[in-house]
Amino acid sequence: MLKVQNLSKKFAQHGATVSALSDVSFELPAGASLGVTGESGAGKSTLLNLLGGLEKPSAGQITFNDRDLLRMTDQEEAKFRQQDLGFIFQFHQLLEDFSVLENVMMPLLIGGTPRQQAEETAQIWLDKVGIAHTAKRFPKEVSGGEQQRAAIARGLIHRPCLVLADEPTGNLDEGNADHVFELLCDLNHDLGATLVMVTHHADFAKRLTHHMVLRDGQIKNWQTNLK
Amino acid sequence: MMLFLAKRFLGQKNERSVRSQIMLISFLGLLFVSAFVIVALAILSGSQKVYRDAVLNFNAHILIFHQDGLYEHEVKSINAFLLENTQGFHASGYQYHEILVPTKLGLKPVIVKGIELAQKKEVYPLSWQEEKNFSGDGAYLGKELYRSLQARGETFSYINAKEGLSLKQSLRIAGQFESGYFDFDERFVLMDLALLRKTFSKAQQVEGLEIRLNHVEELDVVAEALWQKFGDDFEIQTWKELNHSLFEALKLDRTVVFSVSLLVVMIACLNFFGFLFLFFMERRREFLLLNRLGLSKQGLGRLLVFVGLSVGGASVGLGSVLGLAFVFYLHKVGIALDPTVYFVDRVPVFLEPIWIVAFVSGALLLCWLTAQLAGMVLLKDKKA
Repeated sequence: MLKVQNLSKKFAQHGATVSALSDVSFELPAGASLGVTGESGAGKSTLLNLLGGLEKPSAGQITFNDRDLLRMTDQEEAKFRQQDLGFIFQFHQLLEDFSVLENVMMPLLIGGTPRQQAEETAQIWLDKVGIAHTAKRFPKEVSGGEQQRAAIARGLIHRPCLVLADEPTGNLDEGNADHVFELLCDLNHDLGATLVMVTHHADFAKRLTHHMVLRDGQIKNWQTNLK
Repeated sequence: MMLFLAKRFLGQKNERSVRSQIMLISFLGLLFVSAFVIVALAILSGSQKVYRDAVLNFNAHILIFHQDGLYEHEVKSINAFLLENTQGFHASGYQYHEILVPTKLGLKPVIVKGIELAQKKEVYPLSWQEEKNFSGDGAYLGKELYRSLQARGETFSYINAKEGLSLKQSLRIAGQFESGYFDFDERFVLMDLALLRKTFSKAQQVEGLEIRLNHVEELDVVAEALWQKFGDDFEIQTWKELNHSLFEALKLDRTVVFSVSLLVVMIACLNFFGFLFLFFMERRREFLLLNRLGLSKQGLGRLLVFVGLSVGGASVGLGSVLGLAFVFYLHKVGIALDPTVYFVDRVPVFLEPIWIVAFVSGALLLCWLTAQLAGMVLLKDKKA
């Protein structure tokens, strides 16, 4: 279970204190999926960064499976990211100097998996996301949709229990976006992981088990979708 | 994994940016500085070795003399004392005489030194070369003097300064010697004491005694003991005291070369810091992405240091190899010098492994520190 309590994030801007997130609280059961929508500047990415430990909150608490994510050492945080957390970024964020296969196997390598084994697993995941033919190519040599599929494979290859996706379809055309979204949901369902996805597409968010609308850093609407 | 990541990050990018070219310049800067320092150290060691060896081989370790000379019983007494107080030694009495030698450029003043020729190789470990088919008594000319006279095996003419300029006489040439120090090789003639006395009608007592110890490390102790025993009767000097000014000059040389080298290395390291910083900044997004994928800050720090050390190590290593190759060229082929100015006829080189190891270790340590610093600056900035 992902539990967020009274989460706030403030930062200084031009001498004034700006509140990016204010008193956000919610609970998400294990295996559930949450779509976060809202206008630009509503605090969606800040929420995701706080959940992923990329930023520290000004106040509040985040626990995942009874682990306090804000009280981890650097090593514990790294271990958490290696084993339990999967990131999928808006602009795929693939490493340019590494092939698609190497990009996908990177979380396994960082986690200490032997290279041969990591390569084999990455090849399987490339197959799953339908871009096995791009394995040896470099990110610049494949299309945007293929890059995003590679990013999904990289985010899920180590079988995380919490997946954070920051507008994973944000830079794709409508057709591609739909395919990538379906793929992400299917794979996530197979893994049984908890998914938090920031998206501009309200349609996508509504197809997940939970839907949160943020406005000015606060939860304006929370909806549980009973399928 | 570190090697895999470093190889990829350091691999050639498809698009060569201005930054990449700056990096290349920095890499080459450190490479050439390493080569320069290796060559500078080798020349410094070489010149010190040439001067030191020449001085040490031409002059013995300890000199005992008296203005009225040393009598035979006094020499025996000193020898007996040394037998008891050293781990082995060789000694030779000496006498000097001045002559003038006619050359194409006019009369050249030359010092004839009488020594115990039977002991020549033990007391004076110079490079001795005998004339072919020579037998009997004769003089050994310094290599440069031999060359300037164009002497060919038989005799050379001289004027005995004490007997007047008009009296021209000749001496048989037994061979030549080389100390490696131009001044000695050009101005000295060595011959047996008995021949010197006979030729120039010198007194029977020697002017002094030159002593070469088998173990030079006991020099100070033996000199002190000699001074205690004979200090009231004779003058006693060690080679350090005799050549004080030369060694002071060499010390100054060393200090200057060291300071300049240190300065150049520091400038290269600053340049290298710039290179690493640029490199890290250029790859900042990738490094921080690795952090998001689970590479800890320590792991990221290790990767940055690994990359820095790899680049720095390659640069210092290649530079050292280039420097060593040039030193090898100087050793085998050499660069000519004017011996009347530098006292040696070509650039002397000598490699002291400890200096090379110290330089390479120091340079790598600086690269490591530079990489640490650049890494710290990068890791402080969390913006991706």
